[in-house]
Amino acid sequence: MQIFHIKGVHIDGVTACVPERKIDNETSLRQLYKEEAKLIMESTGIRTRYLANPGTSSADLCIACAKKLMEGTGTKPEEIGGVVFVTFTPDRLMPFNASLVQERLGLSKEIPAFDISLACSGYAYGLYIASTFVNASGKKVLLLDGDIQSAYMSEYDKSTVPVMADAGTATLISPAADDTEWKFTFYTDGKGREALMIPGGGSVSPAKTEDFEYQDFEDGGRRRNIDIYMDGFAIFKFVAMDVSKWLERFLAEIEESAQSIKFFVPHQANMYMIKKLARKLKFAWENTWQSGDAVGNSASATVPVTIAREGANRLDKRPEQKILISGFGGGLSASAGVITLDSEAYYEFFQYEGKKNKGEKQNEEIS
Amino acid sequence: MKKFLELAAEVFEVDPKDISMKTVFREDIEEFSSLVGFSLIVMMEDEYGVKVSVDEFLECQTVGDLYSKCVKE
Repeated sequence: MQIFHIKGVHIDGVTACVPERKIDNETSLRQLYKEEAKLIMESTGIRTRYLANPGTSSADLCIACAKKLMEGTGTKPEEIGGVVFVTFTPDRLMPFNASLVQERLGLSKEIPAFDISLACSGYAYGLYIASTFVNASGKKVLLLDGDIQSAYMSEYDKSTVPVMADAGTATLISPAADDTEWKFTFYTDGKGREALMIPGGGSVSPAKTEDFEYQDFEDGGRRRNIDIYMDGFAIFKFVAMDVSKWLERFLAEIEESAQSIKFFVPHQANMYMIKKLARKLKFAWENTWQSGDAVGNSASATVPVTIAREGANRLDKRPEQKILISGFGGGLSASAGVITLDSEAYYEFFQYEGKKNKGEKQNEEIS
Repeated sequence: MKKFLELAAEVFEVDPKDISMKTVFREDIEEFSSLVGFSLIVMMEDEYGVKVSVDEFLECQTVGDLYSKCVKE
């Protein structure tokens, strides 16, 4: 097992937002599941989800978060030394989202800015990579993580509809004098890559007219080739068998445990799965932070969404407290990190107000 | 057999005394859902090394049907 060590960085703040439309999950599932809707909702534990209005992008949500974060932490645009954007649903396939962020936030032109294309495992990757830039440059780095999954979701698909949601987040990482150490590890199993995928529209199969037509599949799903396909059982098995054992090994390797780590912030796949995972790792449910029940599964953004919602209430002041974060899903891919957080950082969770009114104006204010 | 009932009860989140080989889990277990079903399949593979497909699982009606998959191999 490879362990990636990082010293001398601090999380100054985490902000997150959900988009415009609040969805009552039981109601939304009635069309697909009829009388079983309640059972499905209760089994996943996801009661409400948030979906973006058409045209609201992953950059819109994350830029709104970045503005709140810079304001909340008193960070000026010229202090930002780099932008890392984790998303698999960028505004456009080309160019990448981070260039839009540089422009809209009025950041220096002489910064590294790039996207990372990962799904549910993305946040720990982003945190590790952003931290290496902080270490090497001595400057603050903005990590944005958000997805508009609804742009690639069939409303008739039985596996994605009950859980998937949209969200945006921003995390500010800065150089720190203390020698608190973070440890990360990563896991990739490409053999399972078809368990969670968008079949049409990539360079191997550029989108054709028929990719936009709905088809009925054996799994009970009705979707287009441009929609997300998820083999729920394959993902479940990946997490319950592979990820759980791999996380146990990670904790053993770095000589940590549910006793030495204060909180566990897992990707909010669904509440049932993370409850099982927390139990396996011996984290008490009350020490396992949750947000998926209220906002849904927004891919890699779920970890920072959960931190933004819970951080201010659950953390103590410095010295920083150890937190285990982990994301897992499409790839198949997983990431994990033992990081540190404290209540002196800035945390905010809000609902994005939409482009037509405040959103556009906010963009102009900064630039 | 006792161990299997204990493991199944743990997945169902019920007391082992409340289930038997005759339990028709989809009907008798109030909280049963497809996610609980996935958990059973994973438990069978983890504890007994038996790979059961979703289709094979769907044919099983009772806890005993599941147990027979584990002892056959």
